[in-house]
Amino acid sequence: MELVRVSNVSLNLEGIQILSHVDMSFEGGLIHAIIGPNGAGKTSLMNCITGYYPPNDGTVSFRGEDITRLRPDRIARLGIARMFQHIEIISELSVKDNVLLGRHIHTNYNVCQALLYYGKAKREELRNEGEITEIMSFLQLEDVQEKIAGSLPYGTQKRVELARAIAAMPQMLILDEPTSGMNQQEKREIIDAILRVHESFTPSILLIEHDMRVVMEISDKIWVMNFGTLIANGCPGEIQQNKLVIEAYLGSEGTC
Amino acid sequence: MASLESDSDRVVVKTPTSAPTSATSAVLAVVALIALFLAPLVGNKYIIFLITLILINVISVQGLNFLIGYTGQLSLGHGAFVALGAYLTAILCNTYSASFWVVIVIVPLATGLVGVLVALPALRLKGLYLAMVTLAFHMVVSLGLMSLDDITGGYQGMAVPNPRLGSVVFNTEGHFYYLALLCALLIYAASANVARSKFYRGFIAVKEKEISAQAMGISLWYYKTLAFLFASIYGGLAGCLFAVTMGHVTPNHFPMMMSIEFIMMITVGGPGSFVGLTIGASLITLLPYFLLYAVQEMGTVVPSVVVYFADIKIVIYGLVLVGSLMFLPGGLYGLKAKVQGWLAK
Amino acid sequence: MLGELQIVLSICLTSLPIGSVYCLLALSFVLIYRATKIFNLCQGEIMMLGAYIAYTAVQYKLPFVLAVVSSLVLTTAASLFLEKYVLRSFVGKPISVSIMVTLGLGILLRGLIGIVWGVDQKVLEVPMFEEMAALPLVHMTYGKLSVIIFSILAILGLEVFFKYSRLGMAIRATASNVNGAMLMGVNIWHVFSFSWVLAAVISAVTGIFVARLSILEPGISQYAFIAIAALVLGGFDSIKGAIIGGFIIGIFEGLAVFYIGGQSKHLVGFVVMFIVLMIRPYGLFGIKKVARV
Repeated sequence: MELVRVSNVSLNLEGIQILSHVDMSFEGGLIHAIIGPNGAGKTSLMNCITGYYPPNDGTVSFRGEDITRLRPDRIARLGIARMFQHIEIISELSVKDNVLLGRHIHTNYNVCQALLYYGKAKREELRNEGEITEIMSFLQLEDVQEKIAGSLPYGTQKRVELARAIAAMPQMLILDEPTSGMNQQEKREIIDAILRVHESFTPSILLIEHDMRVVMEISDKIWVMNFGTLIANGCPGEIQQNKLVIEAYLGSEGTC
Repeated sequence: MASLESDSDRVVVKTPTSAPTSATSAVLAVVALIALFLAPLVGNKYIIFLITLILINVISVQGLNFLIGYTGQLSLGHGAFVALGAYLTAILCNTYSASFWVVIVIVPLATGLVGVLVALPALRLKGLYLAMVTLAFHMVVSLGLMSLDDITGGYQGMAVPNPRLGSVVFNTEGHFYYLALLCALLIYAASANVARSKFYRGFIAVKEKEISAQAMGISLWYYKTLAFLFASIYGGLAGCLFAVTMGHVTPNHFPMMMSIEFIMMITVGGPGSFVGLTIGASLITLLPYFLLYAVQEMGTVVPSVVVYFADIKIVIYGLVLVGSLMFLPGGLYGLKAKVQGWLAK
Repeated sequence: MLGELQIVLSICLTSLPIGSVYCLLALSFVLIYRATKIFNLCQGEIMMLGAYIAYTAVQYKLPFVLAVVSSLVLTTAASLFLEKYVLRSFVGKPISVSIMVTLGLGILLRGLIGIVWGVDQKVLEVPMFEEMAALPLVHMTYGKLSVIIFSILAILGLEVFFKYSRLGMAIRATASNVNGAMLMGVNIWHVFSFSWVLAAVISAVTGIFVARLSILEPGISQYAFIAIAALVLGGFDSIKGAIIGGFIIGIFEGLAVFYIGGQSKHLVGFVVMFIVLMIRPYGLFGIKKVARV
């Protein structure tokens, strides 16, 4: 079942053509990897899908509905969650508060009820705290849950961000280079976490990744971009043999 | 290496979330409460009056904290909301003879509406632009209060009649003290509740990481406007209490410096935490009175000093503001955490 | 119709002096902001300091030229002191913090000036200021002519400086990319200090002009706030914008006084600022920043 469709999307920013006539269709339930050299437009495409850059041309639809011109927070509330390339956790808040932020959409009470606290607000808070305990133990964050997020090491912060993204119970999870800046062991941990998340919580994942071994290991479908367009797509086996792809990567055969 | 590339143009201050949880804090709070309730019975009138002013400023600065401490919107015009609240109170009670108990509810709502209106342009502006616009807002309000003299009484201001509750007329320091104390406690409770709700998390997210806040479904304009709403409602309430405590309002009560005093309360006390804000409000409220006393004492020795009071005052203000920013990031309350960290080593 | 046009033109001409003042103040702001990303809200007070120092020098019977020189030297020294010992610790901190610091410094300076010199209005004696210029076609006093000439000189001088001198290029490099400039061996601390020096020099001279065009009292630092409106109009990081913004605000003020009268002069700057902020927040010449997500 198609979850997200990108149709003929073009994007021009400050005079540079970032995306040209991109067509993609992402099925639910699978791990899709989007690969390509730096500057290929992968992150910009994600920005178009999630509403940060309105495309000049083309449409994006989610479960059949056109979401092209929607604001990012509206799109998030429809069920698309996202991790960013750079650390975007809230360093002033505790780990637990960060993950609870993920539950923001599902925490239902208004300001007046918050002012009173006892009653609906308290019930909702307790309910959501319960909902996130499983996610936090899943990603081994229980020990640090009261710690201020800004004081933790990089790898842990990434896990917090992942926990926050999952806590939103999204239908589609977009991960932008989740392993960047990590050593082998941290990468292993994050990949395992992503796989377990895929099995247990979130049906559909869009993964932007440079590490080819990771990509080949975990993706169901691979989409290859270069110079703002799609140059190939298919399952890992096909992509490995694809001449265009190999050409695009000449000189940068995967990453170590 | 210093880098100018870190460009979040908001106030980012890392303080732990408030709400005292340990047993000693709870005991201290109870003791403080008892002391506060008993104060008018033992204290002299002037001290009670000063504490009333402190309580009013505590309400005010907690409102400003929503903008500066929570959503990182620097407002240099908070005094305008207090001024509006005070004058609206004066007008309704004096010119329209409304009952104070109705007015105290209406005025904050009215200033809240103004706050929402101010928030609208503010949504598009950041950092310096927002600061300038809020500064201009205070200036415009000040000018307006002075020029519309048929409504506001111009330079001379307006008198504010004493509230009546049944047969009781509020006309002593004690009356206004308890009124302010009650309101301050209510505001504390409300703010504490907000601080443990999703709105607190949302505010901080908007302050620190606008981009990912949106990715979590947080609507930026809603939260930024909500912060302004809290600030303006609290400010209006403070203004209302101020008007009735002083018994009259004049434009002199709300100079531009008032907005800066609120900023100082936050930088000296520490943004974000209630204890810090209370410390800041107390110190800065008392500062001009203390300075006046000091200068008058000095005046007995060196008479010419007294003439320079206004200038001495702003020199001290400048020193306090710059000094607190240079040496006390996180305010005096943040200092406590630092000292604790030191001692733990 | 032609009469209207003539009136407007003559208003433009008579607004040139005040426009020059705003332009010079705006330039001072831009100089510091571009290099250090700090918006110096105490620039008005620094300008005022320059005027008061010159006043004291004249009181001590120094010849006017020496008074100006001593004003420049001492104002620059004060600025450098502030830059090195106060502002430097705020490099890299969020803009809001530097706004509060410079605001605090501003009120500190204003208070000190009030204590040292008193708040009464003073007159700064400048030779030949009020004499009508003995030049053909020019119908204004030497004083007003000088401020216009000074602003033109400042603009041209800065243009030449930034384009052709090593230090100027270093400043431009630092302005666009601090880390890059550091890597290229630019001593950014010198760049910061020098920007403050340039701003101080311009402000001090402007202060002397303001003291004579208006009056010498602690309130004249408010002119700087109107210059901020000029900056908003022109765009904060653009020198071109500062210049055009300054003159436009000057002209608008002149038009407002003529057509509306009285107090409206003070509001003009803020009305313009507000409108610009609503429609085009980055000003006429500022650079629109696309958020890099």
